[in-house]
Amino acid sequence: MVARTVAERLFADGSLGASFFCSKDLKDHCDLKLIFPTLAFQLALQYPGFRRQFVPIIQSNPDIVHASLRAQMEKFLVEPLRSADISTVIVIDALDECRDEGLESTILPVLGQLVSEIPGVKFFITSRPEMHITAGLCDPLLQSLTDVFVLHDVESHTVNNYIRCFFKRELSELTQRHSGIEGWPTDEHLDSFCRGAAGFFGYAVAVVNFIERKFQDPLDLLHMITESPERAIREGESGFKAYTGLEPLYMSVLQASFRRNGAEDDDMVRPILSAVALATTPLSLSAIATLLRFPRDQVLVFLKSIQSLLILPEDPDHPVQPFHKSFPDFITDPTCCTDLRFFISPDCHIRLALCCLELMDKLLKKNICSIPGNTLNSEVGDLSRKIEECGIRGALVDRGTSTSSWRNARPRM
Amino acid sequence: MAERQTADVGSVLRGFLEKKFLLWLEVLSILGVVGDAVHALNVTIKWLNEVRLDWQLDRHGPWH
Repeated sequence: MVARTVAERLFADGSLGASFFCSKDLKDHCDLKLIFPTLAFQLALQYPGFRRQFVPIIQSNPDIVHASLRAQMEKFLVEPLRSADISTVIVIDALDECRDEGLESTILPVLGQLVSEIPGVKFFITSRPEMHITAGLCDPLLQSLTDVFVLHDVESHTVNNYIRCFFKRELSELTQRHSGIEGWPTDEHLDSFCRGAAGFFGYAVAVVNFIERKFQDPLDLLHMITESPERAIREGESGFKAYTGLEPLYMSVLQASFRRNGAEDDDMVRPILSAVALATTPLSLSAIATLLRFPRDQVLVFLKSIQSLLILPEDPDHPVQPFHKSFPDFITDPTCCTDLRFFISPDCHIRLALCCLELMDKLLKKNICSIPGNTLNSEVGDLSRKIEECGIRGALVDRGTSTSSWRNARPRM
Repeated sequence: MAERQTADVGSVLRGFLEKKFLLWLEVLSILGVVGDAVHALNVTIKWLNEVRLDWQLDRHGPWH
């Protein structure tokens, strides 16, 4: 949120060079090796001077995308930026969401070694205080060049004032778009929300998004939020779990939804919830139905019953996603999700793995795209059309049949 | 229950590796994501080591 606002403001005044928003939920957004190439691509679009330097460097180093992060930064950023003498700002958001399994961040020491060679370029980087990031920031080269601003160190009354202003502005705007909520927000609402937020801005944003769900009565949602017990642990304050304060709300929605549904839905609840919550690449409604071998209509009814928790597109072939990242964390954590009807236990991973393998077994066949023998992919002129015609992109990729498509990536025992 | 499902996955996985593995690689290649296979196989090996399913796979026939 902070990085997005900074990037928007920099973009508005023409000083944003490039940005990379990391996300563990998107395969292309959690790979450290894609950060520098992406930034370089954006810089090349933004600055003709950069482009003139960058193109010959890439032409003479075609394998650089596979090189180390240091080599990538030198070739993709340092050399062209230095040669073109560009001053700009680069934003990297949520660095902790990138896959980086070492004890210390891999990318921060690289920045420490090379950033002094491009003094006209400033990096704005945000991250949760994960251990490897904190350790990376202690790199001696980086320390002298970095200003670290810890959000949790801001005085609580300052944060609370901002949160109160945010709630007031956003909820006042909501009254323009919804009927039946005139007079929002009252002081009691604001007090209740601010108590719930407990200084955590992410909660405030999530709550506003939640109430904005157009398909559910805002008054119901307001009631759920104000009645939810507060949580003591907040995002970033614990080294192990990130709670947003929305967890009691999730439980309320799930329990309210499944009081209305019949017992026959019980067998569908956890498989569908796990397909939504565990897919690294979000699956569409059609894909979930095919993968789990449930009737599409029933899956739709199920998803609609909890749609205040989801981004549920009208097109059944578009991906269904949790509306907030904390939802998958909630339903996979037995200490949070105490109603076992909804808890995604390790056996749900196993069931999904089985469904993937069985679907692949059913659909995979020899020369699935009818490509002529002894032909390289690059020699097939209408390969894209053949891929569309045989439907493998939808059937074998979107439906999560690659085992790498699942969060945590494997069935956990 | 979980052990039974684990064994089921092992059995289906074995069938997949024996009969469909190359077809899967072909699809990944056509889609330009054949590198995903490396990650998927690493994950699978890690999981097999965790659940110690290798002996079950061996028991069902020659693995090599």
